Amino acid sequence: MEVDKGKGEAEETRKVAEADRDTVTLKSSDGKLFEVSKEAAARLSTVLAGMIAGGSIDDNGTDLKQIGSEALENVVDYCNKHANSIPSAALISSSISFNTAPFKEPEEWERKFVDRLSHDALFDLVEAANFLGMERLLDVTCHKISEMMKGKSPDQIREVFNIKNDYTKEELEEIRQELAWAFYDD
Amino acid sequence: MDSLPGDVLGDVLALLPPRSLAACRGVCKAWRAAVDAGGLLRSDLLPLSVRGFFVGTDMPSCPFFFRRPSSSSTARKIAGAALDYLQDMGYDQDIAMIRGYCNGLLLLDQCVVNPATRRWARLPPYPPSPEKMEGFHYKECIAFEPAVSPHYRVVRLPYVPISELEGKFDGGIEWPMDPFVIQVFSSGSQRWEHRLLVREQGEAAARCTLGDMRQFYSPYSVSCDDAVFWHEALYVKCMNGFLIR
Repeated sequence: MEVDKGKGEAEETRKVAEADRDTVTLKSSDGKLFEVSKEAAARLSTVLAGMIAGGSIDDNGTDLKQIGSEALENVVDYCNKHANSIPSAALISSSISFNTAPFKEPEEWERKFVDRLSHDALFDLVEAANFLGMERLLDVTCHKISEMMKGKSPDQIREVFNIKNDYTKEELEEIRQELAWAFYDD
Repeated sequence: MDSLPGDVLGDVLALLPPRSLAACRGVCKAWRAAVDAGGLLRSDLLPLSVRGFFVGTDMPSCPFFFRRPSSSSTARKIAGAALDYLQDMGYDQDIAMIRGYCNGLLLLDQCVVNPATRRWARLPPYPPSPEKMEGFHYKECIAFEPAVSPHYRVVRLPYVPISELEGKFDGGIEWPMDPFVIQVFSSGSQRWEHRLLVREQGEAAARCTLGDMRQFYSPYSVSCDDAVFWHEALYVKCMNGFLIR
């Protein structure tokens, strides 16, 4: 009885200590550890916010089995950069004007942040942002991907995104006919 | 990219302009489904460009089709044969006057043509005028909204030619009549039906009678200039300034 009580107290103390820390440790699928600002993680990721509030953050590294180390490094990098960046006036004003949250143009540093990524890294980051419920990072990465699609033909898009064409010749011709205006430059 | 979650793909597509969306539909089946599922490509808002047009004349001949020399294969197909295929099908093209048009369909006398697909359909015989409306002439309009329904409708609106305003009709009849009976053919049901329209404006609206209409000089045009089909509603401007919807 006494022992149990003592163990409970120890647990309690550990939790308090954890709550006092201002970073959380995240562990990628391949076992690498990353430290990220707790405030930024909670603000930018609905999933991490839930885990922090629910006390399911592990001091020795919270397992994120769905995310590889490269993508997680980018996530953490983004969170830390975001924590340091001063939000522009545009960001503040647009965040209160609409509750449907229209897409806000990426900030200069966000643009640079995604521009330096390889295609694979970008796609992994999109998935990680989606998994972690990071709306802003998802917006920024989706914006980058959409930029990569603009002005391209179906063939070029398939090449960039490494997608297999599963249409027959006839189906393709039909699609072209349906929206013929999109395929002429007059 | 194969593993890009569907909702992420939707987010990306939502940022694209129509031309890119059209290209994305051609990438693969999953992408087409994603574009269509999001209702992202609003065909009623698409940029339409003029690639050719029909010109009808007062002469008893088939309408002429004009197109730009560089225009698309669809326009070339239309021009190649004009409407001569109608004759092959037993339609007298001497009476192929264009009565109306809407979103790519042409309304000829008793016949609807899609020049792009070269398909045409003869309309069933017109139904008799409803009671109290015997002797009226009819103006025909066509309404077709491919984004909403694959079916078109042909609407016949009663009117009185200026030459018959005197004598034949009671000058005291209000115009447009309330209720106003029109005839509608739907390619879905393949039948003519009567539709009853009531006047929307209240008592305050100026009443106009057939007698009053004599003051208008120009005959009630039988061309399609004064009928517009837009956003699922047909707007017809009557001679006396009334708008029928």
